[in-house]
Amino acid sequence: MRNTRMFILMLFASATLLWAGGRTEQAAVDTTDADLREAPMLAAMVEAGELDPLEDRLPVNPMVVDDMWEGVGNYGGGPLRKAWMGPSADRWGMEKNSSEYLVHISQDGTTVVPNIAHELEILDDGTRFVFHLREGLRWSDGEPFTTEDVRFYWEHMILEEIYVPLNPIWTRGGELAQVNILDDYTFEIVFAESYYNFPIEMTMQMREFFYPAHYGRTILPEFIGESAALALAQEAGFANVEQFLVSFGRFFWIRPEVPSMRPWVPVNDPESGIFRTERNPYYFKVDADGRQLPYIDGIEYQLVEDSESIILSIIAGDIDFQDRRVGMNDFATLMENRTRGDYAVIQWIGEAGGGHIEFNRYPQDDVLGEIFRDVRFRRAISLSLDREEITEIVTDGLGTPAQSSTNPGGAYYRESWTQAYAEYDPDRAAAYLDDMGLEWDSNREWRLRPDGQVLEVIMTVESTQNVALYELIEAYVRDIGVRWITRVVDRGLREQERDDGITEASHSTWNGWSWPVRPTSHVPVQPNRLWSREYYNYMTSGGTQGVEPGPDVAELVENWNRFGSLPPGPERDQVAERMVDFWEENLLNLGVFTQTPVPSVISNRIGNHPPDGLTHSDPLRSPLNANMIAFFFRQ
Amino acid sequence: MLQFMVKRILMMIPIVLLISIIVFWIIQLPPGDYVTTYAASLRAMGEDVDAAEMARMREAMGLSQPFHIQYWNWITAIVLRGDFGFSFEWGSRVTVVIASRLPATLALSFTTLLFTYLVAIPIGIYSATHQYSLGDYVATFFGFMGVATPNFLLALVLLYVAFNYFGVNLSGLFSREFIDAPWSLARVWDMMKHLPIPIFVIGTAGTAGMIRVMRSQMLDEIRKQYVVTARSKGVEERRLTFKYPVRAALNPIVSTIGWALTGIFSGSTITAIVLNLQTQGPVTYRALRNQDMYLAGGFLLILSVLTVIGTLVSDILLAWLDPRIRYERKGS
Repeated sequence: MRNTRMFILMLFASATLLWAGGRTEQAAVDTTDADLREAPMLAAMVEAGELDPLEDRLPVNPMVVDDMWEGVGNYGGGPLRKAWMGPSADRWGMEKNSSEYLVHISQDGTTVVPNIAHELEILDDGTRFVFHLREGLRWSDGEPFTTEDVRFYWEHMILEEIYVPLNPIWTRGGELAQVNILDDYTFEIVFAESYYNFPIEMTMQMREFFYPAHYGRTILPEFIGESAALALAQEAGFANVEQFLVSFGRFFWIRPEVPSMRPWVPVNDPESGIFRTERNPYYFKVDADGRQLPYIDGIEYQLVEDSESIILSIIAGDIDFQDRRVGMNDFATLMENRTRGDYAVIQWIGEAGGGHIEFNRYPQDDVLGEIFRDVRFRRAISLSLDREEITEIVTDGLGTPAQSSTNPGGAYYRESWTQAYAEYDPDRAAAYLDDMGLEWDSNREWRLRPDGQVLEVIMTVESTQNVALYELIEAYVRDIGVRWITRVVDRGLREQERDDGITEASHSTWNGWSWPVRPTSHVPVQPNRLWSREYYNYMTSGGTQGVEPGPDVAELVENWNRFGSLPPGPERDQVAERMVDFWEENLLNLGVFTQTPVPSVISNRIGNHPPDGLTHSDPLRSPLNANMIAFFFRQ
Repeated sequence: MLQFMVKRILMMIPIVLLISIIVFWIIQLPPGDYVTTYAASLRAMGEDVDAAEMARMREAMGLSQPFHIQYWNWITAIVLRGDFGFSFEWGSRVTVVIASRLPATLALSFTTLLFTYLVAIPIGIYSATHQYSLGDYVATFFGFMGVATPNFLLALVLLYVAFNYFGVNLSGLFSREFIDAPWSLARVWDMMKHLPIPIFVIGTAGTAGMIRVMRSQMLDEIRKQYVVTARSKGVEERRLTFKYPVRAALNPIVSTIGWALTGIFSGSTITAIVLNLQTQGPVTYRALRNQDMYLAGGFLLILSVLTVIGTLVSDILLAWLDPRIRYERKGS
């Protein structure tokens, strides 16, 4: 605690020095000097004896980042200005600017790449995972980073479920994983059964697998006692210890008190008008010339009340990089004002697309449930949509019409899946409905259900969604005689109704980039998916709740488990292809378009920013994959 | 008079208690609770939240208890310790959240209120005493325009014009370098420079409405016999106007001064969002939307109490301003 405070004080002091009287000091250090291996602000601190020299701060084998978009950059040029809507709304957005995990997911989503751990060995038929940490790593407060920090996290936080429930990935073959510390820099995770896919899933489900033990001992009730912890919690403004630990344990990256491994660490209260982060002097990555990263001294997040005012700030040139709270709706405005605001617009390829529709397979109305479970019905709805036209209208032609499927470039991409039942063919749709025995009414206006009622489907749409899109969909579905009703509700109500099993149809989030990372939309592995929640409940409750999956879904679950236990190779690919076969034929979700561009704005003063066409996806932690540590201010 | 005031103040206690129950009931009306909203936002970020975790969170936040117990805990903490509870969304005490935005809100609201009165009352008097003159028509025209234009729209238009033609970004209450600086003379000065736009935007509708009220009240008064009498007795016109009809015409404005208290406390909401002003309004708005119930409840309760106090203040002011108003009937 004292260390952290001292460190923050030092940062402030040095920053003030540099700013207030220290213009000359700054001028004394040439920021373009190729011999300079650390930021001038740190060099000044080293010179003043306030900070250890660079060699002592870097690990023995620092991670070399040599795949920068333009090549090596330079230090200096002032903080990077961003805008955000405060810690509660945008803390995850901020997290993704500086994520550092043990290993990261590769850009194609098929494997993991070294990061804090420089090597990961997979042994004993995929049951044993040995992580080798870089030697000499340090936390942002200068304390050594070792396997003790991993052990502490596992034993005192995960197993105790201090602030986060035990994730399902830790159980394999019915048994909890074991974490063994081998030495200061080596530990292993051992499972009862093969789990080759574990590292990939880990990058999504258990991103940080460590917590600063030296700091944790000063806040966890286990070490300091309940009453002291409560006092700490109240001092920090929390009602109870649990909420304090959620904030300091789970959302630690917005807390200046908690040491981290990230390139930039917060230095003031996240609720401030401007939330400031500054470079971590102990950051473990260097560029191709061996100069410590990041190039940019800090990131500042200005608090705004509304995303529209972000757009105004961008146009006024007051923002250097903004990837969040700007969307496709702002695209034209942003493009028009590029010269005026002196910025460029980067177009990412979004993974999600839009118009993904999911049916509740077990709604309260059994007759409807039977219809929803019939694949012919889902195919008919899918065929009734003119995707070309909807995409043109809703995305100004920027999206690509497609079924809910995997995007090009993602793992196990298959073109025929993207096209499956995705053509506009109302006649074929009608044929499917005829085949199901859903007769027309006497006016030939609506189809009738087997019980004689009009076939009516209520599509619940959250008010934050693109409502126009769903209203457009309604018009097409009604053409084939299904009385489709778009009902717009608030987020809370939609969630509540879904959890109560009332919802008939609704939209879903679709992972179109790489399902092996997280097949939540594809396999019953999450409780809140409309199509699979009853199956999930059945499987997790041991058959006491929910509905037993039929043989097809049971096979899908079985295949997913097999996929996880097989090493990369033809056998695993075969299993994967069988799963894709299933999805292609069964249409768990119906999608309208995909790969809509996600715009972000970058000042023309910034070098090393990514080109258009990078994948924007949650598992990739975008904008992390823009490699912000390589951004620099052009001289 | 004193007896009247004491009675009124005692009456406020049951009223406020009743209001607090209604407030607490209203903030729980929307389906779901903060945990539902929170889980939804986590899921939108790709986090898994299962039913067990949600139940645990409800337990920790005390949301699983029955209504009357939750209410009892809430109201006793407020009455006994001045503790409005914990804002789930902001991760700190409700009082801290409210206090952090109070100075800017008060500064903005008071100056806006002053602006409204200083502009509206003279114009209202002028347009009544010069009925159907060019000045009256101009004032009436702008008055109706002001009433008819929503503030936030005016804000948008001003932002657009300022930015497009003058290249100035008018949003916010401070320049960037002063946003999180400690309070100082320079910071106050910086805020003063940013205030005119929000004052103008927020004040227009109120000003316009007040001009109309003042004008019609004045028109009523200046035709009355006492004015004619005074004039016939040769009282100088200016003295006559300000001493008698203006005082009487101020009645409806004074009787609504109390309600201005709530406006002062909350700041305007939508305009504040559009202009990116860090006042209470946007915070309340977000708290209500996200079911951050203690924050929303705290706000609503404070607003209600201010309304009740404001009504009392209005009544007292009115009695002082206009001796004709009586509170007690004799012999009843």
